[in-house]
Order: sequence, then structure tokens, then C-alpha cells
Amino acid sequence: MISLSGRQALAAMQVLAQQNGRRFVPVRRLSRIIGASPHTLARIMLRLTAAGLTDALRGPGGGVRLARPAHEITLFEILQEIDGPEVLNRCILGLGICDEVRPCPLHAIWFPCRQQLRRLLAETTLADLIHRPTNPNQPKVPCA
Amino acid sequence: MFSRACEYGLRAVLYLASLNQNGYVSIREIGERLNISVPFLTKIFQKLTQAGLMQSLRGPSGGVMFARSPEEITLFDVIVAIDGPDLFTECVLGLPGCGEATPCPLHDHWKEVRNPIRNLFASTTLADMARRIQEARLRLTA
Repeated sequence: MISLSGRQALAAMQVLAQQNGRRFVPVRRLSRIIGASPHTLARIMLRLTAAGLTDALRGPGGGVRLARPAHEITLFEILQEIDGPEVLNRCILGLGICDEVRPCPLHAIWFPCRQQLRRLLAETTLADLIHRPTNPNQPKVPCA
Repeated sequence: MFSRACEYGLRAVLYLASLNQNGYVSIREIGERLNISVPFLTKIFQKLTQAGLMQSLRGPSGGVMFARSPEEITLFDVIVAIDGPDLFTECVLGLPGCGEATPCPLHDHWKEVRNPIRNLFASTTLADMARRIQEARLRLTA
């Protein structure tokens, strides 16, 4: 559903959000924390920086950090930068453009699910990933 | 959502189900009809055969056919045979450490989305889909 790069980007952004956003974290350290290859993560962070979601600083003491407050970055924005603007719009059978006019056999089943997932990701910010919820019905412990 | 193998596998079994014919169909014919590489499709059918959904016969008049009626094979069976059950059991964000004991913020919300998807796939048979494909003339190629 979400590519491996997309998942790694989310995990990396979650770690950066936990740093209160102001400290630069070296990409190599970030890659160790989330268990990704430093090269792959460097490519991911380049794209997120180009998209204005992170700032990068070269040299000693450098690294990456969030460019905006965590509550202003949604999970959907991050995934869109990594998996492209068509993330979650792809045909579930891989048949290219797939809509009401030219549906694949699974379109009618999949479309409402896709919309629901998209809404969930667009309504959740990085701050939601790190803040302890006050609502007792929500999960109490964020992901490690 | 699905791997490329699973996309191809679903298209192939939907094609076979919509043919509505008894007997073996050659993988070459399916590959040519759906524009899928034959060696790749052969590997996918190996998984479906191992899972007991298809049976295969080698030789000139060989090919693949359903091991049981398409009325008794669901989309869920095909997806799990090719991609495994992760899609229906793992959390959507795949964040390390996420689980029932330490859920991520989307964990419970995702379960609300995931379980209906799972139920839908598990209650839709290949025969249901074949009827839809024939009635609405739905496409299996790009």
C-alpha cells in the first residue's frame, strides 16, 4: 500500500519531530535509528528537503531537521513527495488510469477504501505521531 | 497496495474465471492476452498452485486450471497466496514497534479501514467477479 521508501520517510520524519524540530540530526544517525540504509535515506531526505519539508545543513554539526512545526506537516504530504502525486490514486490492479468511466473490476470495491485511507493520512500530522493523546480512547503509547 | 506479482496474479485469475471454461489454459495464452511476461506469470501460478488454488499440467496440452470451483475461491485467498497476510495484519505506517501493545496513532483507525477491506475481499469470490466482468464488460488490460 505504502512503499518501503514512504514508510522510511515517515519513520525518519517521526524521529525528527521528536527532536522538537530545531536540532539538526545527521542522516547517518537517523538511518541507524530507523534501520534504513544511509544511502537510501540520504536520497529520501534530499527529496523532502527539496519539497520544503526539511532543512539540511552540510558539514560538522550538520544534518536534517523539520522545516516547519510538526503540527503543520501531514503524513499525506510526506508520502506524496516520496511516492509521487498519484500515491493512493493508482489502480489496484496496476491498469493505469482507472476511474468511474473506465473502471477495473476491483474499482468499485477499492475506491471507498482508498478515499478513507487518504483522508486518514491527510488529517494526521507529525505532531499526532509524537504527542501523547489526551483522549483516553486513542492509543496511549506512540510507536517507538 | 499489492505487489506487482499480486496485481498480475489477480488479473490472471479474473481472466480465467471470466473465460468460464473447463480444462487447462496455457500460461502463454494468458500472458499474451493480458500483456504479462510469461516467465513471471509462471512463477505467480506456482505460488497459486502451492496454495492449492490452481492445478497445473505440463506438456503441449497443459496449462493451469482452478483446483476448486471459482465459487469457492475468494479474492482474499489469491492475495494471501501471493503477497502473504501482511496487508491484512500489519499496520499501515509500518513504523517499528507498532502493535497492539504499543500502537501508533493510526493503528486503531487503520484497523477500522482494514477490517472492512479484508471482509470485502474475503466475501467476494472469483465467480462473483467473473459475473461483474462479463455483465459490465470490465477490462483486465490497461
